[in-house]
Amino acid sequence: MSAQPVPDLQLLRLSKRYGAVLAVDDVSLDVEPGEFVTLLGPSGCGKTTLLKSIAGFLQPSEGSVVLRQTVINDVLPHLRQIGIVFQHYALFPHMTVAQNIGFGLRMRRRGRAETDRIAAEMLELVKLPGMGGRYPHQLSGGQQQRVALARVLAVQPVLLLLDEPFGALDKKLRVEMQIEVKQLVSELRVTTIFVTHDQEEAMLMSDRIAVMQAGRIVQCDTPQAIYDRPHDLFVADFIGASNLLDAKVLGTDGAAARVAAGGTELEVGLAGETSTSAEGVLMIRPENLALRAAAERGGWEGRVTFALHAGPTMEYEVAVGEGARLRVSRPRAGGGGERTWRIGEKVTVSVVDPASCRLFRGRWT
Amino acid sequence: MPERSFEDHGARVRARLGDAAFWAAIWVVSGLALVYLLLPTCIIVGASFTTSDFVVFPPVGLSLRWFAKLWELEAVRVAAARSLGIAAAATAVAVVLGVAAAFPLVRGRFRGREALNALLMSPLVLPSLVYGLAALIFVSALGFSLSITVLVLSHVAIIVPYVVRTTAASLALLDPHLEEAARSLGANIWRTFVHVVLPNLLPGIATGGAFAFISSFDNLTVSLFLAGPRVETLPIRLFSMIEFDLDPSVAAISTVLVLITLAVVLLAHRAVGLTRIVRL
Amino acid sequence: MDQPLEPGDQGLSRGLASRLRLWQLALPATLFLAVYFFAPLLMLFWWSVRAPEGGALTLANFASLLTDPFFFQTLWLSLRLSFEVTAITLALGFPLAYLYTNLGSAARLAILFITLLPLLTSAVVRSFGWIVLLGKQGLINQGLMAAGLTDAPIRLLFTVAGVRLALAQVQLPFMLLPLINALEQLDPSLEPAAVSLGASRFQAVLRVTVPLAMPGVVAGAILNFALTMSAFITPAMVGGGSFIVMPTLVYQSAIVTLQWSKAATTALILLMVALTVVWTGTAVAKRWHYGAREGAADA
Repeated sequence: MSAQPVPDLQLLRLSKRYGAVLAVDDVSLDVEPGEFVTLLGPSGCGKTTLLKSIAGFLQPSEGSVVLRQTVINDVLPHLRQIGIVFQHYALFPHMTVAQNIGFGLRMRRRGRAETDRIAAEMLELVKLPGMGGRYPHQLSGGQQQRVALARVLAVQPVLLLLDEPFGALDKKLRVEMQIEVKQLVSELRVTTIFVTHDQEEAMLMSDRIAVMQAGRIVQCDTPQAIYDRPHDLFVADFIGASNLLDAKVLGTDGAAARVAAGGTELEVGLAGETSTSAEGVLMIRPENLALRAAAERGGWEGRVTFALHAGPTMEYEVAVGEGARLRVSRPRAGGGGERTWRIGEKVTVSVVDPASCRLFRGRWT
Repeated sequence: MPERSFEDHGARVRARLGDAAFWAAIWVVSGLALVYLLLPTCIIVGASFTTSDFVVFPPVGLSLRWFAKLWELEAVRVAAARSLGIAAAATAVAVVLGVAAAFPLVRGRFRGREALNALLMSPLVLPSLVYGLAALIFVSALGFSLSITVLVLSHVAIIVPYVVRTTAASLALLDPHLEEAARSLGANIWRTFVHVVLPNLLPGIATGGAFAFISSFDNLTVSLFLAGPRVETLPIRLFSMIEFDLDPSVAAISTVLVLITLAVVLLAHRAVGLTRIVRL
Repeated sequence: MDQPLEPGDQGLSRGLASRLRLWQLALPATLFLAVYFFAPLLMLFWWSVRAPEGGALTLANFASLLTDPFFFQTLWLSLRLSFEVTAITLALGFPLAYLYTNLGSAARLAILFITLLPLLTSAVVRSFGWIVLLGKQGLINQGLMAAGLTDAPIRLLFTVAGVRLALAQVQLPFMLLPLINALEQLDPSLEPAAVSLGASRFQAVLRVTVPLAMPGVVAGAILNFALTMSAFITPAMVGGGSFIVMPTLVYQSAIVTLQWSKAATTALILLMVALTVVWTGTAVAKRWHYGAREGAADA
């Protein structure tokens, strides 16, 4: 029988209060060794405050931060061996790239030869060989990013924190860096906590995502679970696009429910709510809807108001009775004889897989 | 394997002690510096309330006796009025010259702009002692006798940079699109200036003008050279009173001056914000 | 490129508006300063190189002063004093400026207030405060005697030590503002970055903050040095008649003994010494820019 792996990081009921405001509200989280967890949420949700509390730059008002089973609440940040990559890289402008990378090692009193060797290794690792003599201002944004990463990895931290590190990069570079960084930390099995407000980024890189709102973690799950089975409306709305329809609950049966929305009845999945309300909001992902000719039945009738060739997909917006608009996303390539629709055409919108729709019971504003 | 520094209890305690010592040192020296900054002013203000006939701190008893006496001291009244007049006149001229000059500095795109900036700021860099002497020699060599006008003009020279600097800073913050929008809506140059530019510049101009006024009012060095035997400004009066005729009324005058300065700083804060002034 | 005003404008005299160029707005101020600021300086220069009895250009004035031991003594005193005062203001100012950058807005405002108030108060008032402080019955002597450190009041007024104390306080605000500016310009995530890599706060300040703030610090220091060398009021009031620094020499030559040539020459030597310090300091500061400015711009 193998031993249970001990989480590298445990947050136990962590709270941070600023006067009357609760920036972090009773947050608990376990991060396993080698795991890549993302804190995802809109600005002001408390993710940065949480990050600073883990790093030691803020003292929690309540709760504990536990690193490899040691409570580190009163350990000063420079002893925590937690590496941070900052939003704007924070490279020391008065030091060369090699000196930047070797900084942590020098702080740990490693010898000159060893420091130089490790710095060179790190440069190879981040694919910047021979750039040791350059100064940060001579590097491009992407290169600075890598140096920041190399600098932090050089001291083999117990935990790696990434604070929205790709915000300053352009789209194409960002995607490249996302893949590179993920590969690198996976290879090295570095436990990583990643902070971002970009849900695509989170979905791409994470083993688990902790969605935050108003200081709390509202759901912590794998990206697929969060996408397919959001716990509440906030998560459903925040992750990916979704159509939200008012619905009446006609009956429930375990994890399924029968609802009526916009005149059509469906059997859908029930989100884990304890509410027994007869009303609710139905969430349907745009790729879960299909368009057929108006004459056919089994769906909502409407008129196409928007049609866009969005690269690999066609994005539609269809106005269906009572001012509701449904977003529909259909793949363009491939067979199935699927036609494209134009603005003004009358269509029927039908649900492809009702079971993967989710009903959130209760009244939502 | 990384050394687990966060598990080493000895290291943790040592680190906390070291950190505490660091911040204690910072706070102690800073506190010292702040007290050092305030001490002389507080001493004078405190001493002005004394009942005794000599200047002493802590004051002997508390009374407004010496403030009341101020009004009777004719020489002081005359000097104060003269200083006020000089400062007002100098500030007025400096504002006109300085505000006008700020525009090419901020909006202009001609080659000599850096040089113009250096030129307009140079009175700030040159010691007023050297300027006072230079002005004295200049004026006398040209055959003019020392007069209030000469003094006012010399004050203008040294205070104009304040007005230029704050006005330019204010102007730089003003979005030029505002003016373009006004013009496209039909306002001409003059109206645009009066209704769009000027209201936004006023805080900057007012702050610069206030600093200029105070600099002129407080000025001793240049005035000593150029005032001549018959013109006495308040700082000159104070200077000679401290030398020859010292009693707590000097402290009382100083207290009034400090209060005026306080008012100006508060005004500047309301108008522009102290943090922005510091960045100038 | 000039920005002519459109001729189609109404309002302010059409003819005037159409011919007014932007740079011309700077003319009044420029002409005024040319006449009333720069011309006097030229005149000063002229008086230092002409012989006292009138006539040809000569360097005799400079020669006579520079070979006068008393003059050298005074120059040396001025230099030494300015150096000491600058060092004191740096030592006091840097920790305060550092604290400032680590405090919230309310505390910062308070510090700025405490800094600006003496800055805008007349030097006469501040020096007066020091006269009261340093006197035999002043607070310092009171404190020393109360603490039992001395039986009789020690003489602080009219001494170099007294002037040093007073001058340092007068100059402290002038040093503090550039220091605060220098520290505020720095990327605020640099210190936390250093700390996260294993540097204690102190080490982070030493290795990251101080080196990066150095250029601004040096600029502020040399400016203050120049200002301190030319300070007249405080040494005159707190130093009394027996205490001569360069500015006092200038004043005496000009107003008391009416030797304008001598005064002009002294003033110019003062200026040149101050300028030399500024240039040397700036050159040193430039080399401090860590090749961050040098090196090929190949990225």
